Amino acid sequence: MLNSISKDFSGNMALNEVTCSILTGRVHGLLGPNGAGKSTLMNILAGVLPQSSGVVNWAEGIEPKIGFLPEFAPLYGGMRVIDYLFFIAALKKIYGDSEITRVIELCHLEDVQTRLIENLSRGYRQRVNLAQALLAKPTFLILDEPFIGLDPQSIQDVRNLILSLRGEVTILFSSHQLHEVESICDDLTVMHKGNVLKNGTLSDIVHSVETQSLITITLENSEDDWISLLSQNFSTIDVTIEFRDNATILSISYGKREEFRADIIKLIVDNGGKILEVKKLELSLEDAFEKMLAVV
Amino acid sequence: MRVFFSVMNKELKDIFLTPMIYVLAAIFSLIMGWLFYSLVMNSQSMTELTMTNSVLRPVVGNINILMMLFIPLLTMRCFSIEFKNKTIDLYIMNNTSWTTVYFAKLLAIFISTLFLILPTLIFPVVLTLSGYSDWGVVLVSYLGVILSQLLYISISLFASALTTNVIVAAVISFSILFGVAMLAFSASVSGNYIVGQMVSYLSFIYHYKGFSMGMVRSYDLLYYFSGILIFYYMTVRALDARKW
Repeated sequence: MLNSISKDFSGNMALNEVTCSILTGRVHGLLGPNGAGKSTLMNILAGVLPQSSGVVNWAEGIEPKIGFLPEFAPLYGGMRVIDYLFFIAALKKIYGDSEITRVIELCHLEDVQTRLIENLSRGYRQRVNLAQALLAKPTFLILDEPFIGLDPQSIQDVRNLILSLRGEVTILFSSHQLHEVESICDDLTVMHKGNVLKNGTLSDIVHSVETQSLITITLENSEDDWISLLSQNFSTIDVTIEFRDNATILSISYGKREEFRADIIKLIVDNGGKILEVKKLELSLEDAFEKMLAVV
Repeated sequence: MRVFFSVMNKELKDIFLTPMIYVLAAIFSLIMGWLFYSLVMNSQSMTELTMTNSVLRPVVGNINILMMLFIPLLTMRCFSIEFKNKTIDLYIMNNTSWTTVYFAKLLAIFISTLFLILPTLIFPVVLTLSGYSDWGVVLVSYLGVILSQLLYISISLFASALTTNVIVAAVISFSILFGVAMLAFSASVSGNYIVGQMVSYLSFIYHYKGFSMGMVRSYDLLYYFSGILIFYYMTVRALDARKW
């Protein structure tokens, strides 16, 4: 639980009384445009930066074992991957090489472990960065932009890795790739200019910004004037019509608090329409994120 | 202690896997060898001076002066490059104390300076072959050199902790080292004996002089150890300040 965390960089408020909770064992996303304060918050949680005010209350009062993947990888270019990991293991007071072998396998670094870090591609450097964060089996993993510089296959690997750790490790991660956030996260905190805009489960946050319900009804091709019929019976709905592949598609939107679905379907059926499909369209995280930023 | 030795090993590898240390060692050996040869040749005409005064003291004294130039080059990357590359965060993230990091780096740099200085021990050995036997002065002189190196390294590490730019770190380091050394020459400018003594007491040269004469004086030891501790304290403060 983060309680009124503020960070003042010589008059520049990077975080302004941020309060939110991160639940144990869940994957928590941190979203926000550049300069929102995500990295600052992560650095504070990782202990790299001290907060100006506020407190971090850990579950059961015990600080978890933290693994941190910073946005800018703290790598020694002149070191070999294996030596770097041994060095980090020594800083974490880990003895033996079984843990090194584990993270090398987890991050698929077997082929490059004897190479100098400065000679690696950006994607591999990010994997080394991830490997150092995973050393010592952290119970709280903080990942600041883990997908940066990764190719699609690596993104999938990291996504699978995060999903495999779900439940046993609490994961906080930030990313600008909203579809990744949507596919991985259980909970979300949306930040803007050092303030928390929303904090909660992914679905709650998306629903909280939804103002309209949108359904599409696909009918067998028909020449009837469905727009007039629906508009006459339901004054508060918007209807658009589209003809595609011998089908008529009606897109109908109405206020979030109203529910006309059953009545609309009944009206269409009563007027001889043959319904092929009814779909309720959910707001995507990307749309929800845009809406949230539009109102601030 | 494992963390200490890991940091020290990393620093040693950084130093010895790059060509700079070997270039510095070559330049240092060349200058010292030429100097020793010249002093030995000149000593033939200085019949009233002992070997200690005509050869050994100038040779060891010049080691100290050269090290004022070389140590900033060896230490300039120590903290500044870690700040620049954000690798300093690794120590913070893993709760490694600044004291451990500081003394591990200090010892690594000190070992690298020994790599430069140790070959000069051949000079007293050569003198011994020609009848020189005052090994007490030799050992005390080298003790003075070692303490001077530790103090120079301590000052240079402080300079490196002040900036992310390695060149600026080296310039700050040169400036402090030469500034403190020059105090010995500016002491007479004050015109006041007590002030002059106080100013010259702050200079390395004043304190090294005792060692070069074969004397181990308690206040010289106090000067070097307190200087090392003061700059250690200031470095830790500088590192903490940059974290904020």
